[in-house]
Amino acid sequence: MKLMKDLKKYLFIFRIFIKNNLIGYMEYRANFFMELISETAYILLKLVYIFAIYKTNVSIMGISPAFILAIGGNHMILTGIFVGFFMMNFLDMSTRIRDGMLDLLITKPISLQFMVSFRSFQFGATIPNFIVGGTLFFVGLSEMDITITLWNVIIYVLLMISSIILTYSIFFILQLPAFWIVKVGSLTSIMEIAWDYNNMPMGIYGKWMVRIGVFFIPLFIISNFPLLALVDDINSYLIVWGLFVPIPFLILSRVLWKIAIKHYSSAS
Amino acid sequence: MKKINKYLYSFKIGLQNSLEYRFDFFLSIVASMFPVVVQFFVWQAVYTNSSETVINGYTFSGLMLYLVLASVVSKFVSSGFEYEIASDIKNGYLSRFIIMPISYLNYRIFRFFGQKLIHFIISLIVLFVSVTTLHGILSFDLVYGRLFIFFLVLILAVILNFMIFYALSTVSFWLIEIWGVIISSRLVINIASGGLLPLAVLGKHTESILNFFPFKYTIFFPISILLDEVSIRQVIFGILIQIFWIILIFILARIMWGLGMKKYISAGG
Repeated sequence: MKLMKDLKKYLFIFRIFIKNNLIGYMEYRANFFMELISETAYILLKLVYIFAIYKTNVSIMGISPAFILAIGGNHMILTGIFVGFFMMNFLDMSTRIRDGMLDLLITKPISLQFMVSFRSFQFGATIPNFIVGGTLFFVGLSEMDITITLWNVIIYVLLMISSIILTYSIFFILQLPAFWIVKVGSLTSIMEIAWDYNNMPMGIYGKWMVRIGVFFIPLFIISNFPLLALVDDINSYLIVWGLFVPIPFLILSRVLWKIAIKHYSSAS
Repeated sequence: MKKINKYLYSFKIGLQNSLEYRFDFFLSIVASMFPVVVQFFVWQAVYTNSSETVINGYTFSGLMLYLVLASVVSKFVSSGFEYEIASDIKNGYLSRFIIMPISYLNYRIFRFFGQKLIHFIISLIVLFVSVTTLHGILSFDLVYGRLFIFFLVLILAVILNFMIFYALSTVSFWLIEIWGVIISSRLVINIASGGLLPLAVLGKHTESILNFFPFKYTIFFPISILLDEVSIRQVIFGILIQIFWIILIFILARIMWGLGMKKYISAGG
């Protein structure tokens, strides 16, 4: 009963945060367009890269160029969620820690982790990612000439959800060193680079990298697994692994957060 | 004499600034190598699965060498003062410079070169280490005799890139929020300069269109000299084009700045 009540409360607050962001956009419309423009340029950069590979028309270890298009598209859709919903909050976190601005948030009667994770959004960055990503995804899929069953679609959706949870957990954990070291600019760039490793099918990376990326730091599950499940090119053990691995990682993010927050020095 | 002194001082500001954040620059170069690792795997997969050894005019080791050089060169020529200029204009800090007996453009140029001196040393070390290591892994020929021309062209490339971004920064006079414009132009200009992939990989049409722009003379051209892809005649011709673009964009920037100053409202007092 309490759980339901809590859930309702958090959903209510989440809605308020979104509303605040939309109000912010209406006040400072230029920001929305700036987000839109800069994200479009990032997409262009990825497109150049994807098409450079696609154009060679080489089938890489059984991975067709069409699959490369589809995975690029799927990755963009997830990027839309990553930059739109998580990234700004993660970037703000280190500033909040450095300037002691967490003080104000600590006093609020809801979870601090929730407060720092879901306060600001960048919808201007989500839109172009969804449009271009969605297009690439469907063009890639239609070129692949395969039949997709309802079962494939269900697993795809579930794995996409688990990808989103994993994205949150892994990149949230990556920001936690901010409690110990002041400047985390390099962490941010590592975050962005690690994220873009998913732009390509994981098969192209070395065997050991794939093992690490699937089992230890399960980055490759994001983007790769959902699409592989959709085209029926992944064994069921891995699907089960992909569906359940977000749970321990979400718990880990919670536990590490609890440890890290003890080191908050409330500077200034 | 005094005139030189104040610009020497600007030079020192830039120098001290980059000395303070030298590790940050080093890290940013190292970080820019990570995408090269992704590219290494991707292109390795493409080349091993392809029947051809030369794709888009590049062998695998040639392409890898290009990518490493491109990431260091693009970091080295990068400007990074656009936000400062934008903030000077937006917040009215520019007023300080108006009443000072100093030219803002000259102040920026000297400060920029002070900064680049340290960056140059760091880039050189990174370049040397990465090329030597790569030399062990992939076999390729480096023409050491061309190093001297490379450095000369690189200096012109830095000046050219400075001019491009200085001209771009003047947009701040007309637009209050400019960060999206800065980020996107940085990315697009980097692609057009050959900082992401060699221009030949982008396709013949794109390459021939890009020939009409100054961008390729900041990254692609210096690297192609080092990789021995251009004849000495083309090098001289390229240097002349570099100088032509520098002068043209300098004039353009001056005109834009003059027009912008008429719009300048000196916000914040």
